Amino acid sequence: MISRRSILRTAGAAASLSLFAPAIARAKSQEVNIMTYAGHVPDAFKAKFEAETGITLNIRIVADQGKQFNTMVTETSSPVTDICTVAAHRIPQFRGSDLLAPVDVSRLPGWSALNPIYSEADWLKADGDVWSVPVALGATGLGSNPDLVSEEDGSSWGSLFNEAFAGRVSYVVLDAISLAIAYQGNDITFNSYIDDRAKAQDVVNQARDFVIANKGILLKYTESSTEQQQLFINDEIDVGQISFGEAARLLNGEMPFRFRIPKEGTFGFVRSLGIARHAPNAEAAYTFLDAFLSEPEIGTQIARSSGSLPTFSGFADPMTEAEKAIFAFSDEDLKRIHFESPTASGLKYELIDVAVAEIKAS
Amino acid sequence: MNTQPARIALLAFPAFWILLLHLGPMLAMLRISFLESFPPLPGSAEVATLANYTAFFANDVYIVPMLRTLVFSFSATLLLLVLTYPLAFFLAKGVRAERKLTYLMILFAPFWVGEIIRIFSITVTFGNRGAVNWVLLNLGILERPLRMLYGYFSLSTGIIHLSALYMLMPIYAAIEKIPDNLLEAGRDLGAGPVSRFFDIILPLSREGVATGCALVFLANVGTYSVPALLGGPGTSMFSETIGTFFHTAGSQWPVGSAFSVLLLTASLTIAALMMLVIQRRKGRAR
Repeated sequence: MISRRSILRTAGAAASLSLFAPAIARAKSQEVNIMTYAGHVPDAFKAKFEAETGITLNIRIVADQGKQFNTMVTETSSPVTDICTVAAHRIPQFRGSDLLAPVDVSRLPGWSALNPIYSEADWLKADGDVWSVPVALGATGLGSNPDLVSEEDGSSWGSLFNEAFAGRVSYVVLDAISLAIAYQGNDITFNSYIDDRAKAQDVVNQARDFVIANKGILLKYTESSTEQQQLFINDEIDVGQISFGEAARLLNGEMPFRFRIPKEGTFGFVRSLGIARHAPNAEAAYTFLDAFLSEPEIGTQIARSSGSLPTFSGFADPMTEAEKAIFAFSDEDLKRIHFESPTASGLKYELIDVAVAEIKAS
Repeated sequence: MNTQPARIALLAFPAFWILLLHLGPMLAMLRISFLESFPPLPGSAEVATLANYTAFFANDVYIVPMLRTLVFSFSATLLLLVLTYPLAFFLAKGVRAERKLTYLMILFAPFWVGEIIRIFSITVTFGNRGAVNWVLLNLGILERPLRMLYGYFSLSTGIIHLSALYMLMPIYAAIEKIPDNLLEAGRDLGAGPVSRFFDIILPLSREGVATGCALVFLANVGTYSVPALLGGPGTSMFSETIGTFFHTAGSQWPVGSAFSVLLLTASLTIAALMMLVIQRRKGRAR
């Protein structure tokens, strides 16, 4: 018979276990704790890797760099993360906060699978070290419903601020300032303002005031491109900013949808996997990265699962023609993508972060 | 028998709970609000400042949403009181004792799922492709979907849906405690339904009303997920502004903390005033 005392004893033991569970989880070396964006570690690869190595991949999905940075900083006293996903232009910030360890490329034979445009890029290197493994390319563009929005309107950021689409427009508030900066003809990368903080502030203020002045047109400020995707799917908006990864999933012909890199230009970024400075499972993290880079067709898998453009050579080769059409950027498109600058992005986001709060409060 | 150790042991857990999990984070927030930079970066020293507080008063862009939040929360609280009071009365006095549990379970059922799921259920119900528009379009009442999301309607619906029980339960408990024979005596002495309500039921349920109003007001002032998911650019609440400072990958936490302290102070003051007014009236009624 189960006595009250035995129930209490069992409950006490269970409570003690639950209190110490995180420590037990951290002590295991047969796991890798990864913070990454949806689809960047494809499910098929994860299952195969876990079956072959016995190492469990604990994946925490993140939606933006800010939250990921803050999470890692708050975990500094008791590190959990082994691998994080850093946008290339944020590498200096993560390094400066002692959150990243250099990557020993000699331990990654699969490194050559990466397109040299990315694997040899200057922004990956600092102080003689490589700081992360580039995985996918992202770019923000303009999504629209071709049945209701003309090709011309669907190719300009001006549509986000156009009275004709009032109540059928939305954008990610953090990105809205960059888009307004591009629309106003200013330098979206901030490279021109590195030595002129006053000018940079002026550019941000102009964009902030413009966004606030056109707030009445907007349906909703969103926090992520995934939310933008949902608004398109639910027929809440006709025009909206959306990243290529999320747009790719809407370009399958099931609903009227167009994606353009607007004529005013946009910002692009490269997402990369970095090893956390205080990774509790650094050895297992290297095992993961090596398997990841060595996996045949990992680029194709990433493209299909995340919708992002992978940084792997020949990723499109195994794709169908329809898939290739979605993932093909024209030369003109590519010219309009301005990559965030590792040297200027610190200044840019320092100013933009405050302006975002002001826009939201307005 | 010395019961002192047992008493200490019994109180230790609640004390630990309150100090560490309730007061602890608030004190941490208060401390951060006076720092120049947070989270701390390697090699940086902590510098104290009042700038995070002066930033609020220096720019009316922050004062307006704070006032909007307080006014909206107060209005939503009053609306919820009007909506839930009759329901609480019905449950306490209009339902047979053996059926009360069934009725309460029906009311509790939506609360068995998470808050975010309940918020999304409102999106699914009132969206352009939601249930309400689907019915109206198929009945031919509408030609185009009626926009119901991302404004004060969806925001209020979300707030009411999420905080209804906080108002309902204290009022229900207060009304249920009113002896039936008191109401019968009033009726026997010639008091009509209106007199019985204003002279007996309302004064005796005042404590429940006060508790419900304070709980709902405080919960509404601080809610983040409802305005973030159901509100629009014209309905921004102060909690969203505060959230922005914590999302960015910089050193804005102290500003967010200072604004949180200000919101907490303002909302606690209003809640205390509400309680005070009701307590005074109660005293006078005696």
